Amino acid sequence: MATDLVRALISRLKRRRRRGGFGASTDRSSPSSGRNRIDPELLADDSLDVGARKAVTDRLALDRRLAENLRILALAAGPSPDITVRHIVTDASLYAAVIHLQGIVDEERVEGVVRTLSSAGATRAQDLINQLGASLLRSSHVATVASFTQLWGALSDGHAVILADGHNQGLACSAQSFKTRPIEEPPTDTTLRGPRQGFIEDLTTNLAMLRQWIRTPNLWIEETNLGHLTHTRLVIAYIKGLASEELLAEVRQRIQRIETDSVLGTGPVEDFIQDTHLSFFPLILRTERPDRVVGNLLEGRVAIMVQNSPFALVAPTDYGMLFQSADDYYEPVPIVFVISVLRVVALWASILLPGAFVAILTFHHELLPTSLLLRIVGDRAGVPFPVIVEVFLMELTFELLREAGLRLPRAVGSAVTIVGALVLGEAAINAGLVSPSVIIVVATTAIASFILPTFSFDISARLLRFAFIVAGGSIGLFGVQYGIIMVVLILASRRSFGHPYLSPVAPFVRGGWRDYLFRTWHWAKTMRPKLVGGREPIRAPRGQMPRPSASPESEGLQQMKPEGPSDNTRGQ
Amino acid sequence: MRLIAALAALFMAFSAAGCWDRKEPDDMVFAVALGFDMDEDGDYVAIAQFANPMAAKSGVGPTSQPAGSAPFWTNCAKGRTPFDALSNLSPALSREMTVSNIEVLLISERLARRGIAPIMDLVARDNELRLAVSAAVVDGSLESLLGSQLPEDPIPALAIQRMLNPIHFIDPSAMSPGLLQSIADMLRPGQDLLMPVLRLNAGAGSESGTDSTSPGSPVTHMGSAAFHRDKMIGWLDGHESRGANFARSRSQHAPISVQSPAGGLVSIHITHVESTITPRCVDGDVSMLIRAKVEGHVQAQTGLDQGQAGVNLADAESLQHLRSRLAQCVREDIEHALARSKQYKSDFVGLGNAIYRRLPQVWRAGVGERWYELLPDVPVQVEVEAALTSSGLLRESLHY
Amino acid sequence: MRMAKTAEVMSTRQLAGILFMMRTTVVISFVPLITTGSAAQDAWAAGLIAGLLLTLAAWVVAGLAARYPKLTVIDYSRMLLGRFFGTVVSLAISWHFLLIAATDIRIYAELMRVAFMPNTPIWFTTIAMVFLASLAAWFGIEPIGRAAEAFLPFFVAFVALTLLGAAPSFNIHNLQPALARGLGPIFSSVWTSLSIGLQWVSVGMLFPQLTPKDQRVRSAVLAAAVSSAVLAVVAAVLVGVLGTDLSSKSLFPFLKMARSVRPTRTIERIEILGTVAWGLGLFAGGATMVYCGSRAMAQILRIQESRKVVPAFGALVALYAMYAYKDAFELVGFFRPPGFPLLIALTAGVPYALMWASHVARHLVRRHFGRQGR
Repeated sequence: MATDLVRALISRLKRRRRRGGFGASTDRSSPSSGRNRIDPELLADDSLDVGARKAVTDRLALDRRLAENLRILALAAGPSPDITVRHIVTDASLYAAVIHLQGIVDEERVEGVVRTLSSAGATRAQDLINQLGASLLRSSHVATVASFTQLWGALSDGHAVILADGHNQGLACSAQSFKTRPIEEPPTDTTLRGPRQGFIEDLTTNLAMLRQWIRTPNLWIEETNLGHLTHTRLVIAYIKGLASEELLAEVRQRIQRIETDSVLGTGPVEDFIQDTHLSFFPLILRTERPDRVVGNLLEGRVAIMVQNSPFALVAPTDYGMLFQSADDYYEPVPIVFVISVLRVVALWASILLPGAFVAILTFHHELLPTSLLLRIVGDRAGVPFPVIVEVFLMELTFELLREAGLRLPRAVGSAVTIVGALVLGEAAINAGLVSPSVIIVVATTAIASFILPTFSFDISARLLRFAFIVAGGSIGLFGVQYGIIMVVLILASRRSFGHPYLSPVAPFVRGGWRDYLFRTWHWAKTMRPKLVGGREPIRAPRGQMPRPSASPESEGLQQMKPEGPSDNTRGQ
Repeated sequence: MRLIAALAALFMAFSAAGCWDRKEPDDMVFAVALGFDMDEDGDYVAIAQFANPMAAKSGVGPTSQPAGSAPFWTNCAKGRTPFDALSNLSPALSREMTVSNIEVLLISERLARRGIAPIMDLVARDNELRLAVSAAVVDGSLESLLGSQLPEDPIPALAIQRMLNPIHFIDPSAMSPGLLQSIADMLRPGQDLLMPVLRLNAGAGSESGTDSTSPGSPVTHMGSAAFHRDKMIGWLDGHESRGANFARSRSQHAPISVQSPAGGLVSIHITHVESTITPRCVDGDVSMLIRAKVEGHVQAQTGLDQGQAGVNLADAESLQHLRSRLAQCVREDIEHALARSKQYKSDFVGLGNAIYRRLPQVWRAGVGERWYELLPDVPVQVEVEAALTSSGLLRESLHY
Repeated sequence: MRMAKTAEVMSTRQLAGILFMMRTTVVISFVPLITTGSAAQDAWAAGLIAGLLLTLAAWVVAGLAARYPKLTVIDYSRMLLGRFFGTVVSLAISWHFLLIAATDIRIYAELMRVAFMPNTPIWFTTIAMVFLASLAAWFGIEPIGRAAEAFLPFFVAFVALTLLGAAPSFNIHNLQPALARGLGPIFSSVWTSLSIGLQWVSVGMLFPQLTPKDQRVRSAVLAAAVSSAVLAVVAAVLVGVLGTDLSSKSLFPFLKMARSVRPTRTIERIEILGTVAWGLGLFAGGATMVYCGSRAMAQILRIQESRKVVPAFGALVALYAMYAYKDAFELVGFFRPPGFPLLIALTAGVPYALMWASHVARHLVRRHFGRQGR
């Protein structure tokens, strides 16, 4: 009978949709009182599966008796050694307990709480809780807990929970002290001149970093929990009034649709909210750097961050964004322009070069100048494989080397990759299994593919490369051209959160090229990208390029004030 | 889902279809030069020079290298048509022949005199052959020319191609940038073809691959062959070719030696020639005026011994003297070329074409049909204007 | 007609780009200015005249489309000419789309076979290209427009580079005597080139897809003018490089020109540029034609979603391309005047003239009665 009830609960739970907007962490079930009380003894049954246990704990409410609450805790959370219960008898002879999870609280603050609790003078449990919450506790954050879900939520957030014997509500006060790694430069996205900050796994610290970049109140952050088993925190961040409301609605809707048992980082979130799951080009940007996130926020995009992942997602993304690296904001403009062009060329070369090489050598000898052709053919003499097999083999070997290099410890990894490649190539040539021209092509391709700043793009490029090798090897340059058209067509049909993916190339948005190839000086960035930041198109007044002052005697005489120059006084 | 299936099906069709046109470079043998000859029975003979890339990589081998590692080798075959002859080369080859990379197309004198129209047709029609190859008529044995080693390149075809296409030409439509020029010349109304000539030097008929022990190159690029429509009519020597080039504004760097007013000879390097051909028709009589502007600079002198001062270019009179001598020489060259043109009835200077372009109604009125009869009697007046730009790096001649 | 989930819009720049690429592709393939008719060295003049006439025709088509901005040509042909004749004209226009798509693809397949891969059968190249065009049409006109916009700079660059590469071999004498043969021979070359401008009928189908502020006649007309100018230049360069005889007797003169020149010592072979440009342009044109044809058929047959018609239309295009022309001779012969121009004049020129007459008549009648009725 108990199990039937539990099963009915589970099915109701599965049908339930999360309602309401985002807000502070909400619990998903209101504690039932009286009528449908659940007997916590159900949890003692070992045959219950996770869903059933969850169904039970969601309906559990705290009891008046302290012992009963502690028994619920033991039944639900098991004999975990890190649940620490400190029994206290207050000065007014009330029994109370302070519960915390070891390792995520600051022991000193818990001691403070204990001290305050033990010296409290209230005689009734309810007054004790109210008094503590209202005036006695020095914690920066207090909240009442009335259900087991709220209790555990507070505990896992690093709060210390005070339970009093005789009142069915407890008090959670903050005492967090998560151990996380220090803020350091992200390994995947390094710059020469920019700040050496990267997101870490702690969401609160990440949000703090964002707040330090955007110090106006317009940075709005909304939070929710995902995952039945993990309750992972997820936030979206945006600039209110700049990000379009339709985009926000779309983002919220997609996140709220997620129903899963665990969310381990931003990868699963990306899978859930992407426009299509079969895309070989990334439709959401993933980055570890706060300055990139902030830059995109200021253009009207939305950032999504998840607890325990140093990567932030930025939506919407387009093709031009994939060639951006953080350095572009900090290097001189002409260099950035040349390097941006180089990146685009490198991407397409890394995808097309092996395929075109195979195609030309196998089908279109007439396209090569005679001396080059004879040189290549001469080097190939004696190689037992056809060209396409050779190229395939070498590409495959490079892929193996690359993956192997990732797994090895860092000290050895890079050595293996470089030395391995060289030795393999040399040995293969000497054995007569491959020709030097193929090694050159494959090596150039590999080097070109490392130029791309966005790692997730690299994987798609690798896959495409193999497709082009097959296409080029089976029908020559017709196949390569066919593939190019197909790839561009599919890219043109993609949208990322409503934003056409191939912009700024197509549709041709002139302002968009400023972020794609033709970077300009910061004083020239007067307009926001039309499609994303269209709500507030003007970013800065024009005419701010450096020039000698018109009246140098009278300007700059006053000392600077902390309030800063008032916004939008000039030009508009 | 169905889309994926369709795509996958197409994909497999691609790869499994057999790749009809696949030509692995290992399965091909590359012809780098092609020559056509005609034998006594009227059959076309195709001679191809094939490259041996493996040996070519290691450069020219010494005579002691075993056969089969020479950088090139030749083969010849007969056929009723040029394409026939070309196809008949295949049975002797262990790999598939491809002519898409040939550098030069050579025609023997015998075939040239019989008519090169079938060859041109083949080249224009075939999808592997290109009109960008350089072409020449061979004075000598075509087979031995294709078989002899040139000192500059292990593969002679490349050397011959460079020979016919020297880097230093001023006017892009120089002597033989390619077969395209030749065909265009042939097809233009009122113009005939002038093809460059490769002369095989005496004593240079060595077998393929072996090093030539005689000094110098076995091949010389000198003179031209004049054609009447598509048949070769006769040779032009160096001076006449030069004159023809002057008249057609297709001159390369031409050296001319003129009499110096101070005794001896002065060598002038002509750097720029521009000439216009103006036809005139008076009462049905056609006459031509060729006006050439020549520019050059002094390169060398003789006659400087015994304390002679040599020519002094600062002196206006000597300058004028030199100029008129230069103009005289150029005029003579042009007139020699014209004399040949009239003699051979081959209008390689393009007099008829000038009438076609400038006086089209005259051409249509009957002159065009009878042009070859009218050509020998057409009076041509040649006017040359010469200019000397500098005297090199010496202002005045040195006293000895 | 129910619109797709996201309303399919395209910008006027994309439409102009597609029109430009469509026309330039076909005409630089076999250059009817030179290979049909007898204009010979005055082909460039024929090109200019054809361009002028095409600009007028573009104005005729786009002007009528602009008068009914929310309707496609199928709709207002029925409105203006009555049920029966309107349906006949609509069917004719659908057949035009089929014809253009199939013929363009077939020409491309012939080029592949003749010039590059002699052993690859026609059906393979044809089906591959039809599949690509149909896939694009399935995605909708938006991705087609965007892809075309992405390809346009490359298209222009490749054509320009090919012309530049051939420029050193240019000989002005080949173009002389200019205009000496009179207008007759020039006009004989105009008609085929003009008739290929039939592609502008797609404006009638695509006009409603333009965003309201983009719905101007200007872009279609401009595309006609610019593409014709480009063609005149191409014709001039072709004749200048190859000479009149060689160019008029070649099957694919542009390709022949690219193959016959040697621009520099290092960059010797430039025909691949022209061929790639051709492939890109063919994709843009073919996809648009399949899309327009599917929509036209869907409207005629009153099928709600035009996407469903795309596979059928694509199959029809493939069959037509493979079996309507037996070989290259028949293909080229199809375009010779007077057959082809007459056909187009009858099936497209006459209907448009009638539609305009009807439109003007309605306009006058409305105004007349409007004045009287007050």
